[in-house]
Amino acid sequence: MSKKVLVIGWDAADWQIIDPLIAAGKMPTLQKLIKGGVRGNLSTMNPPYSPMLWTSVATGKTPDKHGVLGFIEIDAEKQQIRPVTVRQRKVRALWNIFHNQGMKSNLVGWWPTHPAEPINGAVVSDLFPKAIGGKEKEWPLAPGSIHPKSLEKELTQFRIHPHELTEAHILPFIPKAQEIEDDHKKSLDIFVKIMAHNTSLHACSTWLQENTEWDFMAIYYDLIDHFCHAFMKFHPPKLPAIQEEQYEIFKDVINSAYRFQDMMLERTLELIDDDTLVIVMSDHGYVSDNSRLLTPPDVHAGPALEHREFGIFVMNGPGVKKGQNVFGTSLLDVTPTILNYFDLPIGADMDGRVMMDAFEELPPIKMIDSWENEPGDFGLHGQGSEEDVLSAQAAMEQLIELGYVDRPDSNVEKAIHKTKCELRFNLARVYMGKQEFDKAEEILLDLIQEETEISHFLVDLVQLSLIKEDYASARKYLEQLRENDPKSRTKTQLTEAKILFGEGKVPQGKKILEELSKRQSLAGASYFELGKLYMRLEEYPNAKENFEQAIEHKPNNAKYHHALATVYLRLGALEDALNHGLTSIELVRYFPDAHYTIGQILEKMGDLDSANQAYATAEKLRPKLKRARIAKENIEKKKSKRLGHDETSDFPEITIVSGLPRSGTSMMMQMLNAGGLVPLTDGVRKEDSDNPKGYFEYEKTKSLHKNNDWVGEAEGKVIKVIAQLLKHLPVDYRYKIVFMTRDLDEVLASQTVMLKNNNVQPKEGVKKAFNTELKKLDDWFDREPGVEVLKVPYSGVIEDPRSQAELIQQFLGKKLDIEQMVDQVSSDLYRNRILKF
Amino acid sequence: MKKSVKNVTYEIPVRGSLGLLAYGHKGIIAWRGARDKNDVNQKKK
Repeated sequence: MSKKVLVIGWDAADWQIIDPLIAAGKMPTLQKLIKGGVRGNLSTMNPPYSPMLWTSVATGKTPDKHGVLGFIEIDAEKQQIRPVTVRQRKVRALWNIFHNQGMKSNLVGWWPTHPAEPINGAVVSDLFPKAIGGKEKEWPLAPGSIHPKSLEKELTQFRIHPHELTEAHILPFIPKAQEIEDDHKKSLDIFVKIMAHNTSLHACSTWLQENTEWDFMAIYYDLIDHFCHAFMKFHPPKLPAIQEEQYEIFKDVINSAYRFQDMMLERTLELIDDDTLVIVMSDHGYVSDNSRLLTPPDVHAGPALEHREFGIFVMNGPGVKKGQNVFGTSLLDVTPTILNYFDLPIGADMDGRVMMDAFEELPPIKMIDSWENEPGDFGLHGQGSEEDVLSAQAAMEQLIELGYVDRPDSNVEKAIHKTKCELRFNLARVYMGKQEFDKAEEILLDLIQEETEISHFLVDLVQLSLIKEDYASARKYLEQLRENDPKSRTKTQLTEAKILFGEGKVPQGKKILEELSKRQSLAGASYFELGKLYMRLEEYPNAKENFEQAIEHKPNNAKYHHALATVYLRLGALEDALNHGLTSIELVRYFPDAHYTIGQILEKMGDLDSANQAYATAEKLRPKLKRARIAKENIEKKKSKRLGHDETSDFPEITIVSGLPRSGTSMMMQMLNAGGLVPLTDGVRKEDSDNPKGYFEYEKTKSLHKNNDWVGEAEGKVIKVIAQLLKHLPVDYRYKIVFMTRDLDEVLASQTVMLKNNNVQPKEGVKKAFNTELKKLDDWFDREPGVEVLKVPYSGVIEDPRSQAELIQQFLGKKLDIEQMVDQVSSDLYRNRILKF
Repeated sequence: MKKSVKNVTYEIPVRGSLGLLAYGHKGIIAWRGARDKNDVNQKKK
């Protein structure tokens, strides 16, 4: 029997509502589906706008690639704003690929699919159910709503006009509907509209199920999302600001919506074959706890701020594991998983992965560069054959009613400009979500020049500057924001604290955070920032305590769990570290840093295969994460037990001589130079009585912390870098560090002599500071995958230069001239040895 | 037109109307048929 896949999209469905309903036996169909399959959280993307997300589901690609960037678009020909259409999508969706492969797909209501694409199968577009006007007889079907046209007559009869619905449909949701006063009647209008739209599409889907052959079918419902936007504020427990009478009238709407969705699911599942793979999923969740908003903030796409970062994912069918949880699933994974299920190749340009963990067994994964390059017919709209896309007034009105878009400016030119800016802003936010910060910044900087309402751009520029640790810019944008919107001052206290830390004003920053942590809504974020501060100061027990407090306030925050995993890793508590690392990726799969941290933990635990997998996931999610690639190479190296220089590395190698000042670094440079390595030096600092054979320094290393672009000049050479600046080396290379160690009293004595020679008084407390510095460096050596260190004792070199030279030769994996190296060591260099003082 | 849909007859109890919508296209046909024939449900407006 041939394979079939059915995807059912429940926009905004959330486990936090579903689980109690299942426990009470009130969603029996979904419960049965879960029992016989897998369930998990599904992590969403930023910004969580549904048309973007559902297009990512259908393409496996992020919005910057697929091109759907918001709820609306500009109709260039008619010079107007309209709800987003399928034409905005720049890449091929699943159903286009299936069309190319001779398979049949049915699509119902998927957002956005209007105008319907000419694919093998049937399409009922997202504009199909939208009613224009108030009377049933004036209700034309938007052209392009149905493909093929031959189905128009049959399917159009299943459209339900909102005014067709009766008390019988309202009372199960709102038993006290009669008590609704006139000023709340609009709620009923919204209610019937949502019900009519969803039941119209559902009826089309059951008809197509019964009357057509299909390989793939996707049905989309916005019922839960739209009911949540209208009625979540009335959901139990009662919010203090909600009036008792209103609460009593509307409190059951959300639960009823989920139960009704389950009833529709029951009928859908009655109509499938047993061998159908079924996926029920949502694109994001919906906030239902005490942080619910009474009214969405008056910002761009404000209602989307009520979206929670986890949707639901349920899969059941042939080959799927039974009764298990799946972790770390992203909506980007749906397309690769379905392609693989049909034994079709996955595009290397897709951002998701096959959900291997969900299946007992799977066909081997096949890859192609991109489906975009494949020749043939993909059932796409032709160039220049644009159907008469309806102005889609009804759909636009609904988006405005829901608050997703503002009513377009009556000045068309202005409205178009504003829309363009909004879409670019959304693209900037997509880039921020993908951590492509430079691209995001470029767009935001353009926008503040072009727009008058710039507060939301400034908010993101402040955040970007903080990520880039550019505190001067962060301060500049924050001041600009506060000037532009004086009310923002109270809302930006947390940001103020972060900037203060960056500026080195730790006590002022701490004071703000300690104050903010007393406020319930900001406690989690404040403790998190305090924890980060202690991490930077390498005060790990304090960091741990604050991250734990943050988790207590927000148990489902992936960032907090990742931070705690990192602390535990530093503290060597590997089991605890792994536990929190796994929780973080269970909560958010698209979290490359967390996968990388898990790789580090597993590597330390000795589970090299799993560590390798974690690093590979981190790299796949963020190809620029070079540490992950280096770490993978290291594991290969460990596994093959190869020694010495790794010929197969993708990263060029640089030899570094380092240590505290006066620990013998210049002497080691001389030795390596004599041994045959080429030093990168500019000879600016001349030899003197402190270093009679020269310093072998390179001026640019002194400002390594400000600019490290030049480090490639040292490729294949040896360069001296003082210990304190090592951590500023770029991740683009592998470093073999010959690190000079010397008794700290000797180092200080030598430095004292040198300072006196230069008429400078040595400072107090230097020894303690050096000790701390060296301890921090050991941590850094430990966690940097591209760094290999050989610690060479100064006294060892003086006493037995040959043995040390041989060890260095082995470490570097290069043939060195040992005799020449030994000749460089003069015992008189040891003149400052502490014993002589 | 069929006189019943999965044992749901045209004599639809008021609350059963919602169940018929959940039943899909056949439910809508059944519900409209019953409504038109028996005037079971009053229009909202």
